Amino acid sequence: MFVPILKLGFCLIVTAQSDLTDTEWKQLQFTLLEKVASTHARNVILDMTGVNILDSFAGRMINDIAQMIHLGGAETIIVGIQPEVAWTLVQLGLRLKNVITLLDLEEGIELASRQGSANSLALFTKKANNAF
Amino acid sequence: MPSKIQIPIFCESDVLATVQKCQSLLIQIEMPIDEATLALTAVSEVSRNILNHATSGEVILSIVKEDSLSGLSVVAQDSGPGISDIEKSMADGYSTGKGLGLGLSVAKESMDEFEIESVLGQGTIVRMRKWVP
Amino acid sequence: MKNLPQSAISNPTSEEIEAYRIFWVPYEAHYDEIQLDVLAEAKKIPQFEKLISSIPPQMMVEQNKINKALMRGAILDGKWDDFINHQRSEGVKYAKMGLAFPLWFELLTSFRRSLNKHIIIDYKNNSTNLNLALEGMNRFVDVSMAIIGDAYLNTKEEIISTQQRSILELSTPVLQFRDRLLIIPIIGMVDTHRARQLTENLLNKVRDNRAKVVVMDITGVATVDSKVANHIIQTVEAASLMGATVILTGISPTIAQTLVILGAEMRGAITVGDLQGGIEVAEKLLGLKVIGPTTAERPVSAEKA
Repeated sequence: MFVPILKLGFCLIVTAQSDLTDTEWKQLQFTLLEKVASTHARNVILDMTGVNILDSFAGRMINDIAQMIHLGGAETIIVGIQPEVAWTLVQLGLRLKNVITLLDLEEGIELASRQGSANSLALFTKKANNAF
Repeated sequence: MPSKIQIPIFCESDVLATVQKCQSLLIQIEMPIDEATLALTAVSEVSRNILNHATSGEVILSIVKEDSLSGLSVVAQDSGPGISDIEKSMADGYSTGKGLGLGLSVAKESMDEFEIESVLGQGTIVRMRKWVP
Repeated sequence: MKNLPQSAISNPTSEEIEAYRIFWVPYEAHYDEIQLDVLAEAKKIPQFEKLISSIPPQMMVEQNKINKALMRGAILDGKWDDFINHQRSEGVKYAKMGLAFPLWFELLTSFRRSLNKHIIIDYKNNSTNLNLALEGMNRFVDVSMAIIGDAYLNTKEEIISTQQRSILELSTPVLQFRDRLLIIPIIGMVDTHRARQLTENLLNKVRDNRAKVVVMDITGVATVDSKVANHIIQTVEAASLMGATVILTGISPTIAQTLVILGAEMRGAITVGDLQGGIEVAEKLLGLKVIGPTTAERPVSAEKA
């Protein structure tokens, strides 16, 4: 499963479209960290709407990725955590430190644009709002 | 939806498939969300164990009914090297593999019934059950 | 079904079969008379009277014929399974109609009285057969009642458990108070089962309604055990992972103690004294302006009123 990483100003948007295998999580971790460093991203939005099952390995990977991004100087916003996934994270005792969790991608982008990292998009949403 | 599913474990996507099929079984028997996530954790642990220690094996998932109870039964078997010290392997947090799984102790805690048999050089078989409360 | 030693009923011993056959002879001979006797007695009981008058006479005749054929098949040809299935469905029917179980014994008594009369007359010169017939009748009635009773009770239990489930669902409503604001009033005892229901309800509703704030009011909950408290804490944490803020209101002193003893940090949860205060905080979080007296001003406005 290919996990696309989109760049929007200083914001990276990662969408996990389905459940990932161990290797795919490791790959994602690697490419994402590389990309954060090379693009000087300030925010990373990880959209987990498509992830329905999280086992202990994937839970730890998400937590690890977020902590590493934090060390890399960016902020992680996780959006679209499903009820089952949220419950698993709590039961695994993973509290996702240094992570902001929001309901969906819309909220994530809104926050990122407020913080100025997704500037071009902020412009876009503003234009769109004016149009209505 | 069949009530018994047999999944050979050869690669990582098989582990994922096992967990996904397990989830659909759990929905079928109306396992509440908290107990279901525990069971899924256990299933992912034992199937990952097969991959990490024995390279191949199989997991059999089935729905069991006893009196008015229904539940999930999981049998994970491999023909790997076996476990030399079961007691030690069951100790909290013990893990010899790649070090990222939470190990068998978590699987045991997550399920209602847990049984492990292992013969050195022949393989390991784990039988677990979880009942709908 | 599983509680009943059905094999014992569907496989009677040869002595039992013998007794049944001897009892069947006078029963079959006077079948219609006996039916009429029982019917007359039944009409004296108001509940049955209503039931009987609702059945068209033609249908009653048909039903009696079927009954007779099934009994005949069981006793003479050993077709017990058909008979048992029929009795079973009768039991289910009675339970669904809401007929009280003791009433059936009234009918049974009149059935026995009527049949007894015929058996004694028919076998008055043969005491061995008389005894066997009475024995056969008693056994047959017992077996029938066992099957009907079992089905009756099973059905009643099913009805009760369905009702319990729906009561449980009603007991943890999740209300949409405003756009993106949910309110969950919890009243009464919270056991593990209900706590689970709550978790599932809350997390799904957060996703489906895109809730940003959830006010959980537990004023109506006096105490919780540590397991339930833990469950609630985990639910709050899970909701905040999904991106919703949970505001807990109305925590009683006992529950506060339980939570502190558990070492619960209530990460991601805001606690407010009462529901009104909770809703005000929620509205502020949603960026809404609160119009009217706020919690702080309430004592003053109360005096004015």
